[in-house]
Amino acid sequence: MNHPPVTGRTQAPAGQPVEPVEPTWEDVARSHGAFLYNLAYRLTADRDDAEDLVQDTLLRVRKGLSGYRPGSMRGWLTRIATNAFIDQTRRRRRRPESALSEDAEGDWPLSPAADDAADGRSLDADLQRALMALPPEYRLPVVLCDVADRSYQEIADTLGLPIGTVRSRIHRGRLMLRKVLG
Amino acid sequence: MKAAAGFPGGSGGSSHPTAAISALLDGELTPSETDWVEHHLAGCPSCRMELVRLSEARDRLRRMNVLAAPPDLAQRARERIGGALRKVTIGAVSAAVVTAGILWAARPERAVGVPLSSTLAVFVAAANDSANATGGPSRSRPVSVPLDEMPPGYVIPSALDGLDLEGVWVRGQVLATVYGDGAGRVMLFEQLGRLVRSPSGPAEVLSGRRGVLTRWESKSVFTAQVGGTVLTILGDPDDLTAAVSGFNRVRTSAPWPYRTRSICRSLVEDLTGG
Repeated sequence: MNHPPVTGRTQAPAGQPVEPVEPTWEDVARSHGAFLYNLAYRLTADRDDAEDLVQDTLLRVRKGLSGYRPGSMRGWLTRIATNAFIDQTRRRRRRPESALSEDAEGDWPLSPAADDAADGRSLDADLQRALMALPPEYRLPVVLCDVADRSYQEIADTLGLPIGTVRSRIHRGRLMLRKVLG
Repeated sequence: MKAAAGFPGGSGGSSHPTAAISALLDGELTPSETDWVEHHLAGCPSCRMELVRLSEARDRLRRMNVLAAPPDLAQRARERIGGALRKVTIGAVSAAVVTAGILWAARPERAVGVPLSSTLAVFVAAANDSANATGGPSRSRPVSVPLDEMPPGYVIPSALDGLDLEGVWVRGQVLATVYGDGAGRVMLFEQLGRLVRSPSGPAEVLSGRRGVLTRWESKSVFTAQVGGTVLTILGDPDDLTAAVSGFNRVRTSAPWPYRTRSICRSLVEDLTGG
């Protein structure tokens, strides 16, 4: 049979201008999935919640790709993931049985993912537990700064806060962590 | 910048630039602020202790293991995003960013050739709609399938001889929609791009529409630009009645977006000469 020239990944016709290629959510998942998952896990301390958050983020990427402008991909993804986290937190605050504070103070399981990280895993677990003890308004700037490695200005833009507030919260968040860790 | 006023989080209006110590560690101070804080640290043991404590906390955070994402994260995301896009398809699809192709296939019990059969299998499986597979009761079910996930053997407009699409199918996502019952099947693909030209024939401009009719094997392929939409029908030219019937059902089916129904109305008009 004369099969048609089909392909699952068709190239643009040679010699023709190609419109700026926007990353698909699958590109993002492939290239930045670990970054997003790590960020999500540090914010939620729960595998399922982290995965939910990553999927929320990818879905938002899928819906919002046309708004992407070339620049810092991780900065862009961090903004999207942060908004998804804030929405998730708000939803949970309306459902007290799964409030973040209870997650943090309750029986927090060491995740299999953290188990996999052989070196310093108990230290990480202590630190993760301490992170979860922070109110989200402090945990977010600290994680965005120290896990996602965003600048204060980016964090301020992401959270819609004055940069001075971001500076203060990162500082106080770290102090609280230090106090919890002893 | 005055230290206490410029550094929110300063301790109770004292001159200790506490918040600035974190900012110093992060390299977030201006040179003059840095000079001021370092000068202060040189003469203030309590702030130096604070610097040490903050530095430890910061270092530990930054040394945390990078967790590996679950290996099936992408697959589960794909399933969930597929589900979410299904809802989007039923509701409203942004016409500005997607284009559509329409692929019409013959009745399931008819021999339609290997490529087309495998296409049906893919989409039926994706739709998770056994009624479609068995030719059961009439039922429509939009479904999304990432282009990259489609196996060999399916037809996309840019791959058809005689058609040239610009900016289409490049790492794109297909929004495919399946409509099927025992009498026929209609599929819609929605993708970014536009129909540029038809460099080779046979091509026919259909009534009232910038579209071309080409042939592929024994099938007729209709491709047209409708606003931001490229649509393609692949069908048996001897069985236009079934095609029209299929499109008519989409046209009158409430769950479909208005745009989709509008396209199908145009198709029916084109196919029936009306």
